Amino acid sequence: MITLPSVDVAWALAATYALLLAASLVAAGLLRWRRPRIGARLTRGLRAGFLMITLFAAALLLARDWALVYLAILSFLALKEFFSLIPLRRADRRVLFWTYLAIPVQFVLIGQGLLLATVLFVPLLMLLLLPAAMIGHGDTPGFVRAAGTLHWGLMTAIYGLGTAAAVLVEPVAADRAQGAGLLLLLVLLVLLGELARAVALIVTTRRAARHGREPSGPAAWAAGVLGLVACFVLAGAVGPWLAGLDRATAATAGALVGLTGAVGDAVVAAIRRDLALQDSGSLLPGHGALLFRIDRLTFTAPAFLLVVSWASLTAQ
Amino acid sequence: MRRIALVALRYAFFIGFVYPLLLLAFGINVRHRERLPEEGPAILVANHNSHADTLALMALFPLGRLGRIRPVAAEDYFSKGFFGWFSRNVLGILLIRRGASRGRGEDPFTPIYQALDRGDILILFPEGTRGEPERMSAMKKGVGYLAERYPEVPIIPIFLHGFGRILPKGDWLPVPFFCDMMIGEPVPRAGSPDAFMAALSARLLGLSAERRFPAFH
Repeated sequence: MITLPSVDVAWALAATYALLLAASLVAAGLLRWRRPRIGARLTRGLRAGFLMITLFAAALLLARDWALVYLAILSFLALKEFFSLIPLRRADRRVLFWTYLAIPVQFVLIGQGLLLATVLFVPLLMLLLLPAAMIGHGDTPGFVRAAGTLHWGLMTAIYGLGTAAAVLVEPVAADRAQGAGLLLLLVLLVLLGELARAVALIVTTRRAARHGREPSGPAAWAAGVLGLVACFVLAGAVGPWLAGLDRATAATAGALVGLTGAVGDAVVAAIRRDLALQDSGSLLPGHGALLFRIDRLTFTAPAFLLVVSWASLTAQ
Repeated sequence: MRRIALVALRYAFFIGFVYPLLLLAFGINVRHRERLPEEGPAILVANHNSHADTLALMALFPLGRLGRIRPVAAEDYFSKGFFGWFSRNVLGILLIRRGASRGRGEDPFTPIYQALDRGDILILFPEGTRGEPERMSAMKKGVGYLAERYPEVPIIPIFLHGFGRILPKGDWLPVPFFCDMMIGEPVPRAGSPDAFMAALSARLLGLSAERRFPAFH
């Protein structure tokens, strides 16, 4: 049931935890002296980081099929959180039941190594099946809004996590060690992108943040660019060693994750605002603990999968 | 022998069905768990939206104490068939007669008095019925009379959210959602049943305002 990760993955994991721990000490220092507001923000971000890396570290330690089962359970919990937090029409209650069944289908496709079906299932087939099921249950008013809302949930909880899970297994990964390395690299890139953007925002919008305003256009751009560069550099530096990619592929994947992460950040923020989802920073399931950790994977994971699967398929 | 078999059945039902269902399939957040009574007699008062309500409230207590936790229900609904048998014997539901016995001079609350005198923890749903999902309907005054008669028994309000979405009245297909259970401080006695009911309503309303819940209509 358990497999030990390769030495490289174990080192990378240990280094990540060490870095997060060191950053926590810095945050604690900021909290105590001088900058309590920034310290509190950093602490919240770090706690989210710890949770995210730990969630996926568990997937790295489990044997192949168990790792997929584990990620499917995470997917179920995230989808349930989404459904519990959004406004719902009573008529759509039963549709949600069928929606949950998309999770086993998605993860069986992944387990069977059917890459094309994995990538098309939610965005294409579920986009058709979900509204079809809704028609069967009545009510037209609010139909498009309800269907759209549910589909966002699927894209985040099933597609985002599913495409992340797909890098763990063949045909994308040649073997178990490479799969674990790829998944860890993806999670590290997502975390780094978030961290870089947060730091850039703190630096450029200190004044705005002090007055509790949203960051303005140029500051958001600067943050995005910094996130992109950071991901590009990290992926180019550790990608070949950690995930067995050639340097060009690794750097491309890094840049694309940085880019989709930055744009995705803005989109995710808009979705959260529209659905009135608030990240309370809570670690309690049901209050978004899981959903708000993985919602950035909605865009970054498919982008990452695209680059690395392109590379592995053309190499064969 | 029969008693042991029933207790074994209750344990099996909770371990094999209720706990996995509530913890894995649904997921429950309990707020202010420390406000639950350590021992009886006590009365838990909650809003009622679903059959899952009763199971979730019972599951707040450890297995060994389930025998002392008695949900109170109407006899006409729970007296018949396997459902009624199971509710009475395995879950330990306490039945009271509503309406019909009023003219006969017998106090319909007698089973409740006996249970409280034994030191049981009662679960009451003053709305009387599950009603519209995720809406609170008007409460009946029975708890107010109990409050007068048993001034020393703590009456604890519990606000439930989400169970009406899982399994609303009239539906058989449960759909997983996270649920919230918010446990309040005991409601102080207010002098009359009406005043007590007003205080109870205010408590439940206060608990429901502790979190913002999404719309369901």
